[in-house]
Amino acid sequence: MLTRPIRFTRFGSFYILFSIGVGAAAINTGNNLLYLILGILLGFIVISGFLSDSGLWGITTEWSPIGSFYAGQKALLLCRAQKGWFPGVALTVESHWQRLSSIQSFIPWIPARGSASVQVELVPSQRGYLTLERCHYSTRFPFGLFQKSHTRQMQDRWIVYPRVERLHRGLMDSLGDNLSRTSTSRQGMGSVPYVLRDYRSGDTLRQVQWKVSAKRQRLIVKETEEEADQGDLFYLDAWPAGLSAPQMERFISFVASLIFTTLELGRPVGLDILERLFPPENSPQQLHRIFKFLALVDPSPSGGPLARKRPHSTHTHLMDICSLWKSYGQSVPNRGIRG
Amino acid sequence: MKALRISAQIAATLGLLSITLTGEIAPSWLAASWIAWLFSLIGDRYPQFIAKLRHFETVAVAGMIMMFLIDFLVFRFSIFIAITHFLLLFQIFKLAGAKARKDCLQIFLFSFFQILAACTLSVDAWHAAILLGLIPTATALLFWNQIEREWEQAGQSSDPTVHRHYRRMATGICLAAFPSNVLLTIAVFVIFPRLKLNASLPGFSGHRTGFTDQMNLAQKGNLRQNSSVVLWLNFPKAEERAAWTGYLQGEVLSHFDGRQWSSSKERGSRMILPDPNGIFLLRPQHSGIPLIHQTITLADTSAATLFAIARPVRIRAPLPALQQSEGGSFHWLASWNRPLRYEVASESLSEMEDRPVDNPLPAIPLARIRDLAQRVAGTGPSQQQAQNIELYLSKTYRYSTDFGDRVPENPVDYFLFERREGSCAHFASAMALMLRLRNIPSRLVAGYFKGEWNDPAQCIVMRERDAHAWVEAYIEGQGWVAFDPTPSSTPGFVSHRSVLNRLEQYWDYLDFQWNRFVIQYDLYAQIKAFETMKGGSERLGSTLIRWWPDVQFRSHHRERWRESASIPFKKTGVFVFLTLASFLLLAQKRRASTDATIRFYSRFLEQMSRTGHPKAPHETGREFVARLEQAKPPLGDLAHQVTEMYYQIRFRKEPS
Repeated sequence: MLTRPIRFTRFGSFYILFSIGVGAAAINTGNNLLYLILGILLGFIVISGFLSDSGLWGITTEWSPIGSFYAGQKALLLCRAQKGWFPGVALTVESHWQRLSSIQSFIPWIPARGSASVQVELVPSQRGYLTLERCHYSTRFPFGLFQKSHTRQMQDRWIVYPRVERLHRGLMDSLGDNLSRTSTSRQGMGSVPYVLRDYRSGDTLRQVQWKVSAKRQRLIVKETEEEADQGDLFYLDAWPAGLSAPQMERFISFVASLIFTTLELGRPVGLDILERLFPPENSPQQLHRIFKFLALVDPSPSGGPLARKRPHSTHTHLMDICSLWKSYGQSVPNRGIRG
Repeated sequence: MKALRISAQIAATLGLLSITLTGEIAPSWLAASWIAWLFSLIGDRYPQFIAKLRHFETVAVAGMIMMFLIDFLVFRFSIFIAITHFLLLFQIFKLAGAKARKDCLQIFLFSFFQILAACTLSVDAWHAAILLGLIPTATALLFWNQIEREWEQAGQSSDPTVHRHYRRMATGICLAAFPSNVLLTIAVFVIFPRLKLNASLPGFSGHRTGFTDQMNLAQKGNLRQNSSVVLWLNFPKAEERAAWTGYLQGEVLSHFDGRQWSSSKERGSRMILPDPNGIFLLRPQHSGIPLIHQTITLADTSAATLFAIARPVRIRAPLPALQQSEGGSFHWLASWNRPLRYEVASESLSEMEDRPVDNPLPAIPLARIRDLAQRVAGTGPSQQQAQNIELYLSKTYRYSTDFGDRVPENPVDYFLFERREGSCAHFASAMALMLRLRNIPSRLVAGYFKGEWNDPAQCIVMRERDAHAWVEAYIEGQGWVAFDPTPSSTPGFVSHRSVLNRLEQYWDYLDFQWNRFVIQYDLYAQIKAFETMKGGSERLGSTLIRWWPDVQFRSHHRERWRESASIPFKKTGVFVFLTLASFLLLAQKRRASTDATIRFYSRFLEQMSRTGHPKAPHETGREFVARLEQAKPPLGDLAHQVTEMYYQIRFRKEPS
């Protein structure tokens, strides 16, 4: 429902009082020039009301995220405001978010039947859903006498991933020793160089080693070794007991950071938490899948033991998240995660 | 910011102009204000001076408040004049100083208050121009002020691209707001109830005219020739105007103390109340004597005197009561501080009253005057004697507006035997006194004479400079007969044919209409206007009521309805219905069929048409592009891309 609440500005209050004063003076004296001035003053009020209403008429906003959202980190959204038959002049869009304070954005101009965009910054406080509950559009256009506004319910929501940070160097060093180093010594589609050879028809240009080709005065391509390592699978049989809610959030953030850091090292990574299994994979999609799961997971203690059998492969390294958490907690007892 | 400053400058101009035109403020104040206004145009070149001025702002404001108090309490200026002085001082300070956003707003507010103050100091027609100028100025200024304020609050600097849009918007708002605001102003003006609570209007009741109920001859210096309009005189019939002698009677002055003429209102005066129609019946009308009807609009009512031609029989005026004094002049006692419009019906007869009992002579040396009167008047009948004196004075003495450089003890004697020139008051006084010395009752009549014909208004304009005095002598058997011994008082209107005079006439006409429709609009006029509206709506209603059974009858008799198919009503109705239906259908069809892609492509074709490359109706989009690629290759490439995109999106086809 479109509503148009009106609030007097300071200038508007003065204006109204002044108009009343002129009206009283006109009635008192019978001076028709004062009646004319009163007419002009009231005329401005009517015109102001019509124009400010037109300035808000048909306004809608579309919100789209710029990148992914992480708890406790600055997030950017693009607010695209669209307007109906009348341009929008000096509009303020106040967005109200669940569990966040409202954010005001100033849009100086929206063309008639057109749109204008403004970038909105906010910091999600915690993982989960970031919900835009409603948008409050207001304007003091054209004369600043009144602030006219209306509110639109939105219910747009986006996922906020857990807080992710680079882990402590000590932990990463110790983790590096445990990570898979297995090699197949076979040509394949891995990342480790295997052999350099002459270019053959059908080779892609990406394989061409240009510097070497320049030295040898012929096209040389690089072949890589097949990845035998199926990556690292971090697992969690049960949520750690005895953690307070903030500590549990830090634990989830630690899991996310672990996944992120391992993937950043260029290794396939997987996650096996309770009922959910993410087989090791080295791709951005994998990261988003795991982060999405971690963003929405409810870390309440589970009732029984793991129902399904954990997959095991000779090329997959299994690592217990709880033991890593303990060792990390000992190295950084107060924070758990180092920023 | 530039637009805001320009708006503030225009507002300051309007404010200063309005104050200047009132004529109530001393020239020194106005000169200082206009100098500050001129300085504000080039003030940016002196930033150090402006900065210093800003430094002293608080002290200056305190000084202005002190000045206001001194004006009001010590110099005893009226509150409106003191406020106007304060506003001018503040305006001078603001105009000479810095021009930030708030300063511009303050300049506008002070200008507005100046206009408001001017409206209480005078009610002339130029207010219309000032108020009309105020509407777009205020619109632009308030708009720009708000925009600047929004940018300030957003903590951003104005974007030139957006600013261009704002300029267009400001122009649009000014253009749209002007007629809307004028209409709304008129509506409020007409409808707002006229419930006058207190008639205090000090500015208006100032001494604008030299016409009073006294006439002092003991003066020196020059008589001021003021061209302010005092009244408009309108005759409904041309023959009645032709019958008019040119004299418009105001005050009858019968008491002369040797230096000054005055009236005696208390003695023999009577109160007259209007009948239920608002008409004052003054005396019975003589049968067979034609009446002269006149409508008079008094611009200046400070003398509280009703002017009329000859012998008024009845007056229609929006006044609660009239007082008729001994000499036959009419006054109102209630407060009336705005122009007054009234209608008079007069008889072209002399005043038939009993001979006055007393014919007092002033206590001054009269020997020389008596001798002269005896020598000039002769021994004939009263009328003959009066004519002789009139002729002698008009032939022997010269008219002058210069009263001389000393105040005489015996002004009439000084006029007759020493100076031998004077104004109409001297001539009339001398004749009245000479008549009294010849034992012929006489009195002085003050009023207006001749005036000036205004073509656009089709009425006679009387200015202050048209004020005149003449004599009435009591002639046995005829009553009070008018005589005018002043040499220049020949009947006939002053006629100028210069362009300036024409412009002045148009200005007077505007002033007349302004007074008639704006200044005089009161509860009486409001009720009349509402009655007119009510009458109009009733007529419309009765017309519809008469119409409706006719329409019903025709609908019941379809055969006859078909026969009368040629009546304009039916044709018009069918036409309107079909037009509306077509529009609705077209709009619906357009809404249903045009999605964003089609609208985009249509706009593209419009743009191409504007650049001189219209698409022929028989051409398909691709045929149009092919033609364009041959005629204008660069434009054709662009058109090709757009058309292919359009085909792809709309028909889901691959680009060819």
